[in-house]
Amino acid sequence: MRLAPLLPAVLFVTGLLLLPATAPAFAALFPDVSDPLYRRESFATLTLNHAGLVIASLVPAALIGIGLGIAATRPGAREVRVVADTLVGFAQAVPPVAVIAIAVPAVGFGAAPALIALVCYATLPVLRAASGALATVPRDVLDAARGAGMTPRQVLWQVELPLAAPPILAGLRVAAVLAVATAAVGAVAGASCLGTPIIAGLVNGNPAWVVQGALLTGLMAFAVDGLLAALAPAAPR
Amino acid sequence: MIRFEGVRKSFGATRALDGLDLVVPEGAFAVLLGGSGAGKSTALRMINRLIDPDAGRVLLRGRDVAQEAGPALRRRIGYVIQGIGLFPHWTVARNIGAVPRLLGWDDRRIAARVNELLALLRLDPSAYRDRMPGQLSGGQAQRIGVARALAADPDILLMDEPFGALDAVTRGALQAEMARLHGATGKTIILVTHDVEEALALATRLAVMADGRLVQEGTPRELLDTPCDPRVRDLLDGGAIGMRRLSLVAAASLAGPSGDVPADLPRIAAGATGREALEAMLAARAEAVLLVDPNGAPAGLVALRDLLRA
Repeated sequence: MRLAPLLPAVLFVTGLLLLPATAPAFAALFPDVSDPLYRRESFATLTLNHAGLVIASLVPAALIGIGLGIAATRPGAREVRVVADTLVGFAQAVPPVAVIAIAVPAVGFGAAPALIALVCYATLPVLRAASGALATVPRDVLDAARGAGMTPRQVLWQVELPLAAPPILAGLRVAAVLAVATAAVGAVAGASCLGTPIIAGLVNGNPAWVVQGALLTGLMAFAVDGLLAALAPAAPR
Repeated sequence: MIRFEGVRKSFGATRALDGLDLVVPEGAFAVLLGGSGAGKSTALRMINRLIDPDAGRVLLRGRDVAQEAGPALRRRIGYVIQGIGLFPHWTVARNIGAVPRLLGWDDRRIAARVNELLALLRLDPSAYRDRMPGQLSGGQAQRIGVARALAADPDILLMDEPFGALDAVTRGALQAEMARLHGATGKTIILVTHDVEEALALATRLAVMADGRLVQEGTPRELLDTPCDPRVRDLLDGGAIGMRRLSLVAAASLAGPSGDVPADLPRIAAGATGREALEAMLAARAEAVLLVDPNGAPAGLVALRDLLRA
């Protein structure tokens, strides 16, 4: 495993551990603020909740994205692809705050509206990657697979998905980074996450909290990107 | 035996087959020859149900192929395509073992079969087994494609322009290889091509197709000598009908006794064609050529005028 992709993760963990000790620095930076360090919940708890939101949205996003990608690339399913692209494109065109605002009356405050917005957002890169990668599996390879007597299911599992896996994993990585960044918005609906200090800071006029939440959210997105890059299989020969 | 009965197929507004009737005898090396759009690939792909007819039927040993599920049918029919279509994420061994694996052979039997086939196609098993398709030349990849099609020992082999993308030297070598395999195994081979030289070199039965129909079927010699249709004559003539006829005749069948011959006559192998004999004479500016058996002993004399009997 290469070491460079792990650097952001190290940076994130370091930031998480050192942040509580930086209260004097924030006090010096923001002298007007009475409480320069966010202490309502520990940053570790916020990080875990944030990660929970990301994972809980990525799993359905991956299933929906890859599933729709497979459906859209079956023979005679061109319309499915158009419809899927339109639907998910629409889901991504609406800002996450708006999705949360619309979802709150339906599902109440908390994690649920944030999850709905995150799934909407994370599905598109996965779907694009899956349908694109599956559509570019060479025709003669598919012809040979059918000609060898593989059933459609065997063609999918033994030939199409293995060949499409690297771009699909890249799409999942994009979706994960997007989800980490977007999950912070969930705080407006009351979801506990690294966005919570940002919202609390905005509401209470405490820019130090905003900086702390934004810093950790950004570092976490870098960390996830680096970790997934390290896990990604080497490019096929 | 494979029999097409009144087979029709359209793709949208394009009519690919317009009532094809054709019989391929057991053990033949049948070549479907025709220009693009003649329907030859469509016909080939109906034998293993990659395409189903709109009307008519395809019989395999008297049984309509539509009665058998496509995947099961395809596992007992070898299939080689122009693009080769090796699975790029699998090793050579896994590629060759694809159909046996689908048939549920155990690993040892598959490994033994893979080695056997690599040897049959003159590739060193220890050197090639574990290579990835991306590490092969075009000719090697096509040999692996042929080995994969032969893996489960099918008695029918379908080949769709298999050598079209190869350079002339590699193509010639693989054509010779296929002729040898056909002779050695007695399999029924059906090959689609638009290359007249390839068709004449390989076919024991030649079927010329045009506009989705069979125009004429017979031995290559019959089609060259008595074309029943101007399209067959135009296709096979190509300004070289005499040379093509010569290439179908064994030089030995035109030879006279060697007797006392001058030592400076060119010598060619006894299995050469009439065309090769002519080429040897022209190259050496000689009026005759001596056929020699593998031990170097004279096996006959072919004079320039003997070639006129071809």
